Amino acid sequence: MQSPHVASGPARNRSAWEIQRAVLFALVLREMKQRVGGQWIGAVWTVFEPLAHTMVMVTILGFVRGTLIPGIEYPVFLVTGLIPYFFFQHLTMRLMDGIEANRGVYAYRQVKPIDALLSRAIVETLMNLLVYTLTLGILAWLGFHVIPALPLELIGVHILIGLFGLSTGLLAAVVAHDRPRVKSFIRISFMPLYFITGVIFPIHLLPREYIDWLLWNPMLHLVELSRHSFMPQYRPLDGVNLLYPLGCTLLVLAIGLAQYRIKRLRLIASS
Amino acid sequence: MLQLQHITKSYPTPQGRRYVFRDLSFSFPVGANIGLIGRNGAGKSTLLRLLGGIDMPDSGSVYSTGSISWPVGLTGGFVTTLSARENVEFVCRIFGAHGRDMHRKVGFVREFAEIGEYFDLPMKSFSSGMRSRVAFGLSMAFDFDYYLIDEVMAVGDAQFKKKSREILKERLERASLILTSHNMADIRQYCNLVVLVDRGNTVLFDDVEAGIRSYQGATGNT
Repeated sequence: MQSPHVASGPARNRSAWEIQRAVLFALVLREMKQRVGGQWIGAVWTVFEPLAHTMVMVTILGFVRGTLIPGIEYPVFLVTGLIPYFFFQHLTMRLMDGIEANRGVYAYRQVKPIDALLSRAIVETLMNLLVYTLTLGILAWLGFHVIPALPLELIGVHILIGLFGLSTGLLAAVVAHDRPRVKSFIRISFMPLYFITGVIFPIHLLPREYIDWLLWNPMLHLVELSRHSFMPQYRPLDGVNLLYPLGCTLLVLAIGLAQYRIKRLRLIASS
Repeated sequence: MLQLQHITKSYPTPQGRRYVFRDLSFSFPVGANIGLIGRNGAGKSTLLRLLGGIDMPDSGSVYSTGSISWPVGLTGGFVTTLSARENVEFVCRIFGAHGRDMHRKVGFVREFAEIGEYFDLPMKSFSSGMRSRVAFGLSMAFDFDYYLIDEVMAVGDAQFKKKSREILKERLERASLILTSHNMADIRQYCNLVVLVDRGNTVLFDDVEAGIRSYQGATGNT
């Protein structure tokens, strides 16, 4: 075959920002195609997991307990805790495997592990946004009140949840690169976290001395705040505030970034 | 111009740091096709990775005025659940080839690889030969000033090998090659200079045969 001269090459000089944007865009697109194309079951599961979860819980607890908190609809209570929690969990889990899963791509000099992590975080956020809308839509269709009363606070809380998930995911990914067993530990610890975050039952029901301990969990703060911004009549636990999870996020992010910086050469090298 | 400036590169091992290069400075002659030869573990691939920007030196820098390719024929960057077309588009996006430019490159790889409708099927259904065809075509779809090749030269059947050689020769009219190989026939065919890499040192030989003799003298093989 006579090769026509198609190669125009990467000749034009691109600015660092242009390259960064191109790399992220390419990775996000690829990640989405993978989620939807290759493992479409996975994509479907991401969407329906919280939905199925809610339905099962509502069916069981709704009948057994009736209303747990006066004036609060239980399905709305559940969804407004479940989805933020899953958002955090999915971010951490997906990012944890993100460096390894994109191993081959670092041979293109423009791509660094952090790009792989960021693009995964973007895709995960978009997916969860879709899940959120869909689940709330179904609840609204069933006749529940799902319009957030404090939308700006809600957005703020979710940005913080996203950042927190990104930070723990980054830290987990960097730490698990040297010690793969950390991954199973993290996966397992999401199980108790789910309960102590008060996703399915209100923490209010517990005695005060336990609550004081549980307040060490930043996700509990965030979930409570998320609920409060949906339903202002829902009173968050005493001691719940935005500063504590914000501080945790910054701390974890700083450690994660520092670890990444220290190990960045090794993260790429072991291919 | 391509220069190594005071490169030090080490890898941590359980028995302490192992230095591959210590304060290595080297200028690659302009316009020459260079063969890197040396024993296994001498640091050829590390050098190539440093040049390709895949790995960073502990200190020092790689200075280049031209563009440097990724290792030619690299298949590791492909996602096998996606089609060859999607993978090619991905690389185009990274390198900033959009619209018509991307369209032309995808068309080129498709034609070059000669894998027919497989081009639009997930790459996990490909044989390794088919993957290599796509990978080699993809490398050739971009114009670099330096093409890096690590060991793998011509892959696939006789006809594809011939085609690969021809297009590589054509690219090398405007670009240079940096090749690592243990196959002296490849070195003789493509390179007009050799660099012997040995224990963190590099020795430049203007005469390919002299370089090969020195290498073979060092290792005792033929």
